Amino acid sequence: METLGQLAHGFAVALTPLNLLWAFVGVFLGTAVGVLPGLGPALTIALLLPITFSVDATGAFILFAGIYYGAMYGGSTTSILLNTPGESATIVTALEGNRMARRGRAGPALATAAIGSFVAGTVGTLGLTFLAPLVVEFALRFGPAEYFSLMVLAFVTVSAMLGASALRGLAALLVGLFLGLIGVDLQTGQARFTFGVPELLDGIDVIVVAVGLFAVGEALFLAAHPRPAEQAPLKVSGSLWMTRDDWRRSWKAWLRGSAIGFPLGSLPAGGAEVPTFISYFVEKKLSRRPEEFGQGAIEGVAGPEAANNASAAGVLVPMLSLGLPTSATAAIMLSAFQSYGISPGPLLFQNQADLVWGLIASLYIGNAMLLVLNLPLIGLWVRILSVPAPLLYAGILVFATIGTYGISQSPVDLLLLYAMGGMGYLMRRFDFPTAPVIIGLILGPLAEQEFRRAMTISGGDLTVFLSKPLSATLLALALLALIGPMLLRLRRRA
Amino acid sequence: MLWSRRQVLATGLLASASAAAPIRTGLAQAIEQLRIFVPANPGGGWDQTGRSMEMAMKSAGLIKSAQITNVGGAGGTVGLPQFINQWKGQGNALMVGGMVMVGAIIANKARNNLTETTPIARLTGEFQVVVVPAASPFRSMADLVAAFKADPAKVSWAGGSAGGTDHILAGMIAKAAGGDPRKVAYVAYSGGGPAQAALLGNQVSCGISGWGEFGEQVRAGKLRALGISADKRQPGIDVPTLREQGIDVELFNWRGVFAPPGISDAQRQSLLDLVDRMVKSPAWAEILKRYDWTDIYLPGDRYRAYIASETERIHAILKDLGLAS
Amino acid sequence: MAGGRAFGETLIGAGLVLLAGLVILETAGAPASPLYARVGPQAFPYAVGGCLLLLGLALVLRGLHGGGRDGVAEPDLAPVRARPVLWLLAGLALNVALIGEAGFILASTVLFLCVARAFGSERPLRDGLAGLALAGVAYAGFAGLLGISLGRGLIERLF
Repeated sequence: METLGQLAHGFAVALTPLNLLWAFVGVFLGTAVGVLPGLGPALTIALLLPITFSVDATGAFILFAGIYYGAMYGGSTTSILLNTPGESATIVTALEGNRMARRGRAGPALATAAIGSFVAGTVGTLGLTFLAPLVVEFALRFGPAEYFSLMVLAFVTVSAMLGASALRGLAALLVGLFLGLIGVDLQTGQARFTFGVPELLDGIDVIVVAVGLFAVGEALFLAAHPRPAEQAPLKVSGSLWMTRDDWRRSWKAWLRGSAIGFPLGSLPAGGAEVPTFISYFVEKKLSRRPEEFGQGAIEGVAGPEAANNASAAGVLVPMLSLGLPTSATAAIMLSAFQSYGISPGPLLFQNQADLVWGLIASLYIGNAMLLVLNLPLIGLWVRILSVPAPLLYAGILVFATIGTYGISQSPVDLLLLYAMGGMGYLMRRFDFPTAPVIIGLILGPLAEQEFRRAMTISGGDLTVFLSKPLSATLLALALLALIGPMLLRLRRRA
Repeated sequence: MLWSRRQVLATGLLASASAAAPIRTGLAQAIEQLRIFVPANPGGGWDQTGRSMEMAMKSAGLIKSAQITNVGGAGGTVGLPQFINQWKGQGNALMVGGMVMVGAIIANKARNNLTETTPIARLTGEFQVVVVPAASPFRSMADLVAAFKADPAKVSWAGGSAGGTDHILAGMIAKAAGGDPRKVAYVAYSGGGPAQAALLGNQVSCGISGWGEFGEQVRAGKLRALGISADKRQPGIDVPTLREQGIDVELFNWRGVFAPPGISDAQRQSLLDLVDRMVKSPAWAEILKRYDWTDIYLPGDRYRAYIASETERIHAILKDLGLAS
Repeated sequence: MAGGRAFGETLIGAGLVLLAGLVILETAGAPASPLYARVGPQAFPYAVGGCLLLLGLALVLRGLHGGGRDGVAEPDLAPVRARPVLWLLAGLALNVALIGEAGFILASTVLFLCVARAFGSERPLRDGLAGLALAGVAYAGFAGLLGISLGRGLIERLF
C-alpha cells in the first residue's frame, strides 16, 4: 500500500536524532504547559512561532505537534490532582478523576488517563494516517467555490458547538472576523481599517491576538480576581498500578472514547470539549454501576481522556489535508505554515511529503514518549504545580513580549498586544469564550478571499456555489447542521 | 588542552589577519562592521539577500562582521522612514530593497520614497513566468492575449497580492496587447504556492509568478510556460520571452541596496567599492546559483537613474490598474 | 433579581454596537475600488458590521432583561482589586517605554518585577534577579541561537 510506504519514509525522517530531539522537547514542554492551569498548547505554540524563522519546517512542526499532544496528557494530571482543568478539554476528567484521587486512588486515575491517552492517541494517529490521504484525493478537485462552501459549513458547525451560550460565542467569532478584516485587501490592494497606521497594513498577527487574549488577559484576570485560597495538589499515594478490575473496566472505555473522539475531531467543527462530554455520558449510560459516577468511576476518566486525545489527532485531518483549522491550536499551526510560505491543503501531501509524513510518524513516536513521561515521571509534573504564581506569570509575560516584539520589533505591536489583553480580560470577566476570536480571525479572511476569487472566476455569477456538485453538497450539509438541531428541539417540544 | 586551544587561537588570528588584509589596502575607507537594514520580516527574499550579502562579504574577507536589523511590514514602507530618519549619516549601513518597495511606496501613498536614500547598486533580479494548466487550450501568449481581448471576464489570472509584481506584469501584458488593464480578472493569492493549487486544479485560466515558484511544475509537465518576462532567453529554460512573441514587456523583480541619506562622498565610495568586491567574489556567484537569482548588477549613478525611471514606469501601470492616482 | 448579573452582556453588547457603527461608517467612507472585482472590498465589512450590530443589540436587550434563558449566569466575582492591577499595568507600560532605548533585557526585568509584585510577591530582590536571569537566558536563546532580532539596548551592547 502506498500509504504504508510513505509512512515508512516518514519514520525515516522522524527518527533522525535532531527530529527525535524536537519531538522530545515538544512532548516535554507540552506536558508542562498542559499541567499548568491557564497555559494551553495554542498559547505555547504562538509564543514559539518566532522559531519558524530559523528552524526548518519539519523540525518546527514535529515540535508543535508534540506540544499539542503533550498538553492533552498534561491537562489530565491537573484535573485529577487539583480539580482545576489544566486545559479546557480535560474539564470532564476532573469530575471523576478528582473523586478517585480524594479516595486515595490517584495512581490508577493517572494511569488510566495516561494509558487511555496513549491508546486513543495511537488509534487517532492511525486514523489520521489513513483518512487524510483519502480526504486529499477528494480535496484536489476543490476550487474557490468549494472552499468557500466548506468554510460556511465550518462556521455553522463551529458556532453550533460554541457551548453554553451561542450568542456569546457568536459575538466572539464576529470580533475575530472584524480583526481579520484589518489590513490591505489581497484582491484590490485597498487598505481597510488601518486608520493611517502603517503597522496595520499587513493585518493583525494571530500571535498578537492569541498571546494577548490567553496570556495578558489571563494575567490581568488573575491579578484582579485572585483564586480563592490556592489549594495544594493531592498527594499521589498508594500504588500507581491499576488492578485487574480497573483494566477490565478501562479498556472498553478507551476504545469507545477513541471511536467518539476521532470522527468528531476530524469534522470541520473540531474542538475537543464536545467529544469528552459525549464520551462521559456514553460511559455513564453503559456502565453496570452508574451509581459510582460522581463518586470516582474509573470509566469516567478513561473514556473522556481517550476521546480528547483521539479528537486532537482528528483535528489534524482537516488541518493538513484541507488547510482548514477548527481549533485555536490548529489555527495557530496554520499561521506557522504560512510563515514558511507553505500552504496546507491537498498539495501539501505531494510537495512536502517529507514534512507531512515525518510529522505523522513523529506523532506515533511522541505518543510512546508521552506514556513514559507521564507514568514513571508523574512526580516531576506534580512539582511543576508548586512554582510560585508571581514568578510563573511574570515569566509568561516576558515570553509574551518575545513572541510579539520578536516578529517586528515594533512597539505598536506591543500596544496591540496589551489592547488584546484588555479585551481578553473583559471576555474572561464576563464569561465570553475566547477561542472563537482566533478561529474567526483565521477562517474569516480565508472565506472572504475564496468567495471573491470564486466570483471573479465565474464573472460575477452567484450560482457557482450551487451549480458545482461538491460545493452544493457542502452547502446542503451546512444547512442541515443549521436547521437540524432546531427541528429536533421542535419535535421534542411537540 | 591549553596548548591545543592556544593553537586554535593562533590559527584563528592568522586567518583573520590574512582576511583583514584586503580591507586595509583596497578600500578608500575600511568598513569593518557593516549594518544591514532589512525592511521585511525574517524569511523572505529581502532577508535572504541581506543574509547572503553578510555571508559573501565575510567569506571574501571584506568585512569583519555584519549586524542585520529587520523592521518588517507593508512592502518595506514601515521600515523605510526609520532608515531615512534614524540611520541618517551612517556610513557603514546598507538597506536592502527592490521593486516591491517601489510599488508599495506608490500604492500605500507612503510619505518617504527611495530618492531620499543614497542608492548604491542593483544586485539581483528574478524574471516572471506566465503559465497555464497542462490541459489548457492556450499554446502561446498570442492565444492567451486573443482570448483576453475577446472577453476579459472569461480569462482569469492567478498570482500574488493585488498591486504586487505579478499583478503589475498582468497589467503590462494587457496594456501592451491593446487591452484595458482594469479589465484583467485578477485572482489574488497570498503567493505563488497557493496560486499553484488553483492552476493545477484547472480553476483559473493562467498564472503569473517568479520562475522559482513555478519552474519545478513546468519541468514536471504539470504546468505549461507561455512566456518569461526576461530581456532574453535564459540558459537551460526552453521558454520564449514575451518580447519574442510580440508583447513589448520586460520585467524583473529586482533587488538592490541603498545607503542612508547624508553620508559623505568618501563613505559612499567605500560602500560602492565594498559592494563591487562582493559582487565579483566567488561566494556571491555561488549564492546566485543556489537561489536562481539573475545577476543584474548596476552600481552608482546609473542605478539612481534606473530607480527614477522604474518609479515612473510602475506608477504609470499602477494608475492603469486603478491602484494609484 | 437577575438584572444586576447581566451587566456584562449589556456592556459588551453596547461595545459591539459601537464597533459595528465604526465598521459601517469606516467602510462607507472608503473609496470604491475601480479594480475589476465582482465583489469589492466593501462587501464583507458591511456584512460583518451588520452582524455585529444585530448581535450587539441582542446582547444589550438580553442583558437589560436580566440575562438569557440558557442558564449562563455571570460568575460572581469579588470586586476588582486595584493595587495588583495597577502594578501589572505599570509593568506593561514600562516595558513598552523601555524596550526601544534601554533594550529587551532591562525592559523585561522591570516587567518581571512589576508582575511578580502584582501577584503578591514581596521579595523584589529575588524577583529582580530571577527576571534578569530569565531575560538574559531568553535573549541569548532567541537572539543568539535562533537569530531572532530583539534589538540592542544598554545591557545587550555590553556583549
